[in-house]
Parts: sequence; structure tokens; C-alpha cells
Amino acid sequence: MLSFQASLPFPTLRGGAALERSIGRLDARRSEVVLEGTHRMDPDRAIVERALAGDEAAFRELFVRHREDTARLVHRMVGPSPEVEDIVQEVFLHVYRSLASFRGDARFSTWLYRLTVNVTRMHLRRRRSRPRFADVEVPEAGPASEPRPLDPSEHAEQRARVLALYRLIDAISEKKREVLVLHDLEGTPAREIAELLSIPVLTVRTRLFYARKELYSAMLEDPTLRSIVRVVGERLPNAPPEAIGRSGLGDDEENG
Amino acid sequence: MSPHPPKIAALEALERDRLSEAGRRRVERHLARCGACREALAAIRAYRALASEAGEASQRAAEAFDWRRVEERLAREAAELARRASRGETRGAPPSPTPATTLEGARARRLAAMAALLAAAALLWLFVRPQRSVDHEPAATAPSAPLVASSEEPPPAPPSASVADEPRRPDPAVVSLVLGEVWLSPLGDGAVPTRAALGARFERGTLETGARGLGQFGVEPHGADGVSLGSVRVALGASTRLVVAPTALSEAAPGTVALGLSAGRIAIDGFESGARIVVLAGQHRVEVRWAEVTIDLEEGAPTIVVDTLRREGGEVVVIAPDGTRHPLSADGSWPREARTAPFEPMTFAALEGASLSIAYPGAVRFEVGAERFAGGPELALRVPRAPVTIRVFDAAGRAFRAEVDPLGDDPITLGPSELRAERAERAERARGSLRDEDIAARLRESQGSLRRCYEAALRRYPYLGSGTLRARVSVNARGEVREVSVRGESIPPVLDACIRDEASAWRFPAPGGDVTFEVPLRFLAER
Repeated sequence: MLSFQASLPFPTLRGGAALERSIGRLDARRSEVVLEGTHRMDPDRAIVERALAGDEAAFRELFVRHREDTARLVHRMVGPSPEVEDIVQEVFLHVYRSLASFRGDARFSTWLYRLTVNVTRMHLRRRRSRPRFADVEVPEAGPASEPRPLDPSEHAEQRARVLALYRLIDAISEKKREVLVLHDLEGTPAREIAELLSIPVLTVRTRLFYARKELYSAMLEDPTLRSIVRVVGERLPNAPPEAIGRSGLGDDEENG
Repeated sequence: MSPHPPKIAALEALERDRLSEAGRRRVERHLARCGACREALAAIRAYRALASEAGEASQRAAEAFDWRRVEERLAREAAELARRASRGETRGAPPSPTPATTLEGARARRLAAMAALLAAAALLWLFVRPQRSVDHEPAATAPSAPLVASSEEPPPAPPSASVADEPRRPDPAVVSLVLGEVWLSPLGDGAVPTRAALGARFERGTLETGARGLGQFGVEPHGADGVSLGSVRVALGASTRLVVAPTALSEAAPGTVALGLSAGRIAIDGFESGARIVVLAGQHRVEVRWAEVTIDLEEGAPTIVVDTLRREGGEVVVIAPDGTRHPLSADGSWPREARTAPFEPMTFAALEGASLSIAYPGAVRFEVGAERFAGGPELALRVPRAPVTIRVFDAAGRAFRAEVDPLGDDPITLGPSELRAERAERAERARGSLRDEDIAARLRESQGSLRRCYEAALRRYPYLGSGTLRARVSVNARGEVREVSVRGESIPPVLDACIRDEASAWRFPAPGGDVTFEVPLRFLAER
């Protein structure tokens, strides 16, 4: 009988301590992205005004204050890719081209967040119109700058898993993908996503539900992630050993 | 194992610890005997871990970003911007920043230009590094200005939100279930402060939600007699909406779920199945199918706003007390003059999946994958771009079958010539035999095509290595391939589909009856 799993170099959970840690602290992560508030509470307001008034250091201050958040958001929307740097640069070019149009109705960070989403969205649209043949290997971070260095093999496995996840996310339609990434990866609450995309909260939740559902099905068909699902399934309490991976979601094959 | 589609909402509620104790025990009992649901739960859990990992990977990547290169490129761009500005060229000005409300006319333009120049000058000063040749991005690809800067006012909030935010609506919606069973489960970020037993199958009693939050009010058809099991009283607070999402309807006999709305608001999102949801709102009857609507009932008079038709075939029909029928369109409302619905229209073209049309004279029932549809003789819907089996039943219970594999956007139309009678096929299945040499010869001829299948899969799945699959091939009495399945673990869908396509075209010497055989296909990746 076939044994793709046994003979193929799929990443497995062997040494997957990082994934274990992730499973253990699923609820801990929720980044704060505040879309509300006025300039009275906007810590960037004074810097923006200085930049517009010709203060040479002010723009750089804005850049330094927000560049990391911007890069993180772009990376989450695009996935590991050499394009991240281009997009981040494009975002900041738009910042100084459009800074004069910033009215201060919202926080600068909100404005920048929206701008980043818009620029990244345009980029993804362009990318989707181009054929893709293979994933591109991108070195992510040098060991010196890694705040939490991983074991090299663990890092490679984690990277393979993340790449596999983004491969599936890429296949989801733009509208659902956006909501999924902003909510599940970036940690933006649904109400803020609704505001950001100018859609009802219910639509955000609906898109999120369907995006996840598509993703769950796709994970079971993906060579890399299916093995992870299987391992996770075997760890469910009282798991019948034959139950996982042989029926149901995404697997039409009958036994026998 | 029960072959029903897993109830994702309930499993997510379990995974995110949003079920009551009773609800959790019930779901866990079900999980113990449902392999499909366990697999779905494993996928949910694995996905959450992977999403967390991906988020952390982005954080690490952002922390380790090489900002020097970005600064250099920004400096080049700043230099170019300043150069163009000094020559009076418009490129580099904000991309149609639109008249801001605080700035008007020529003064606004002057200020905007000055600001752009100031910003450019500041950048030029800040990022002055060795300035190389200018290689800016083409202006044509620039995205529009951020939403805040746009002249477009954000669309007004949906009616439910705008009305719900008004303090004058503390009244609870009173909803009674006329037909079906109730399944309450949470939806969202945990902001579901329902005191009731979330996730519990509701049978009788009163439920109240908290002041805020969004609850998913799922409805499952009742079994044999289809009678009401009780009534639900849901207190809707300032911004609470009740969502009816009959996610489980597709697996049950198609039919109707009926709800009685005595007062307040109910939001119906019939987004997953084609079942008809009937709301008896006072003297009016509202029939909803594949649509998102909001119904307000005040003093016996309903106000109905159609937010979205979810797909082709979606409809909302209001049946007035005098029996007249009033179909509403996607932006429709009732009464007509009440208001139009500000909503984000979901155009049909934007919907996922391939368009599938089936027309079979005498058909009374359809099965498309796990979905079941009553009525006939025609059916039109969208299906995911994945192989799906379609069965059509006539009034005599005869089944006709076809398998389709929607790949692109081309609509698929099935008629009598594409649907094969299942029983006729069975009758045809007599004994037959094929010589091993004939099978081997056919395999040799297909070797190149099969190799191309594998190479295509390798391009898409770089991790794919070597392995052996088994193709199970059923051949009819005429030597035509009737069915192909590919067996093995972790087969990429693209490889599976390609092998099945290739093998489906095989022809053998007529075996004189039905023959099924299995062949191993061994693939080796050269590295």
C-alpha cells in the first residue's frame, strides 16, 4: 500500500515544540489596534503637525514609530515573501505623498493601518494576476536579530508550516482572505475590521466563518498540513485511532 | 461513522470554550462517535496553532527587518519627488487626496501642495544618503488614498446598526419557533454574554441574551412530526442582533423552518442552505431563501430590509395579509416607501464556485455532494471548484448520476445525456475479464501523461517526494472506464484529479462485463 507519508519529506510534528507552544497559548495573543478616538488622544498628532509644518525630524519620527507595526501587518497579509519589503516601502511613500490629506478625524495609526491594508490589497491583486509556479525561499531573520531564537530544525519546520498555511490562504477569495488575516493573524476585532472595510460586522463574521471553513477543508487536502491535523486529532481525548483522517471533511474516500 | 458535514460553528464554540457545561458534554458525546467531526475539530485546533505561529513569525520578521534598504529607497524616491516638484510636475502630489472638509478650493490645493513639498523636503533631508539613479514605481499603479482621506463618505451603517444603536429600542424581540428545533451557539469573539446555555439544544423555556453581543440562533429541522418544540424569548439589547443561520438544514430533509416574530427585530442570514425560512411577522409572512434580511415588528407592522441576496436564486417574498405576494430585490424594503437598504451588495459574480445547472425532465430531487435539494426538474447553484458527485432522482425513485470537476469559471450544464441511470448501470454489471497484458499495455501508453501529472503536482507542492499510489479502475462491458479512484494518503488534489482524468480516457478490449482492477503507480522525485 501506499505510504506517501512515510516516504515523503513532509514536515511533521517531530520536534514541533513551537507548535506545541502555540497550541498551549492560543488565547494569549490579541494585539491592540485601536480604530477609534480623536486627535485629542492621538499621540502622533503633534508629530504629524510638525511634519506638515516642515519639521525635518518629525517625518522620520513617524517612520521609526510605526515601521515595525507596518511591516508586521504587511507580513501577515502577504506571508513570508520578498515582496514584503517593497510593500512596506510603498506604504511609506504613500504616507508622505498623502500626509497632507490626513484630516485628523481618526488617529494617525488608524489612517496608516488603513493605508497599509489598501496598499497591500492592491499589491495582492497585482500578484494574483501573475502566474506563480513555486514558493520562493526567503530568509526571514538573521540569528543575531532573532528575539526568540528557535532551534534550526524547529525553525525550518515552523517555516514550512507557515508557508503551507499561506499557500492555502492565498487560494481564498480576496474578501474572505482579508478578514481572515486581519482577524486571526493580526488579531483585529471584528468590529474594527467592519469599520476598516466599511462593511457590516455581520458580513465580517460571515466571511470569517466561510474563510475558516474553506481553510479547514483545504488543510485536510494539503500534504504538509494534513499530517499535522492528523497528529492533533490523535491527541484529542478518547480519540478512536482510526477516526481521524478517514472520513468526513474533505475526504471523500471510502474505506476499504 | 455518520457521514454528515461537521457543524463548524458548534465545534469552534467548543474549541474556544464558549459552550455551557451541558453543551460541551453534548458536543463531546457526539464527537466520541463522529469521525468527521473529530477531524474537523482537529483541523480547527491545528489551524489556531498555525495562525498563532504565523502571527509570531510576522512579528519576528518585522523585528528583524532591514530598514536601511527601505530608507535608502525612500531617500531616492524623496529626491525624485523633490526634483519633480521643483519642476512643477504633478507626480508626487498626493494621489487625488480629494477636497477635505476642513480645506476648500484653491486654498486647499495650495496647502496640500505645500505640505507635500514640505514632506518631500523633510524626507530629502532625512534620508540623504548616496543618491543613485532614480527607479521609482510607475505612478499608474498607485493605490487610492486611504479611506480617511477619500472624499467618499463611509457608507451609512446598516439599518440594523443605526436603529439598534438608538436607545429607544430596549424591547426584546419575541421569537417563537413554529417548526424545527433550536440550536443556540455563539458566534464571534466571545462577546456573547448570553446567560442561556449556549450550544444547548433548546427544547423549552426562556432564553435571554445580555445587553450586547451577537448570538447565532441556529435552527435545525425537527425530525418526524415537525412540530414546534417550544418558544424562545430573546432579549435584544442596544446593539444585539439575532441571526438565524440554518447551517444544518442541508443535511436534513429539505423544507421549511418557520419562526414566529411577535415583537422586535430578527436578522435572518440564510446563507448556507437553500432551505426556506419563513418568518410569521404579525399578519405578514416573510419567506427568505439565501438572503440576509432584517425584520422589525412594531405594533404588528413589519419593516423588512433586504441586506443581501447571498447567491443566485436568493429571494425574499413578503406575503401580505390579503395574500398578495411582494418579492423584494437585494436592495428592497417593505413597506416600499419605508427606506432603502444601505448595504454592501454581494454581486453574484463575486461569489465563489462554479455555476452548475441541472435540468432533467421528471426530476423531483437533487443531491449535489452532501447537499440535498427538493423540487425539479431544474436546479441552478454554485459549487466549489472541486470534484463533486451529482445525483438526480425522479418521482419513481430512480437515480441518475454524474461526476463533475469544475476547474475554471465556465458554467457547467448537465442534462439527460450527461446523467447516467444508476440502476441501469448496475444491471449492466455482469462478470467480465481483462488480460493483464492489456492493462499493462494501457499503462505503458499513459506513462508520459502520468509523469506529467506528477511533475505538475511537484511544481505546486515542492515538498512532494516519492511514493506509490493505487488507482482503482472500473471498466464497463464495452471496455470504457466507468469510474476511477486514487487511493493513498496525502495525495495532492491536483495529482488526484490529473490521474483520474488520464485514466478516465483509457479504453480496453471489451471485457464482456464489468471489471474492476487496481494498479500501483509509483512516482519517484529526482532531487
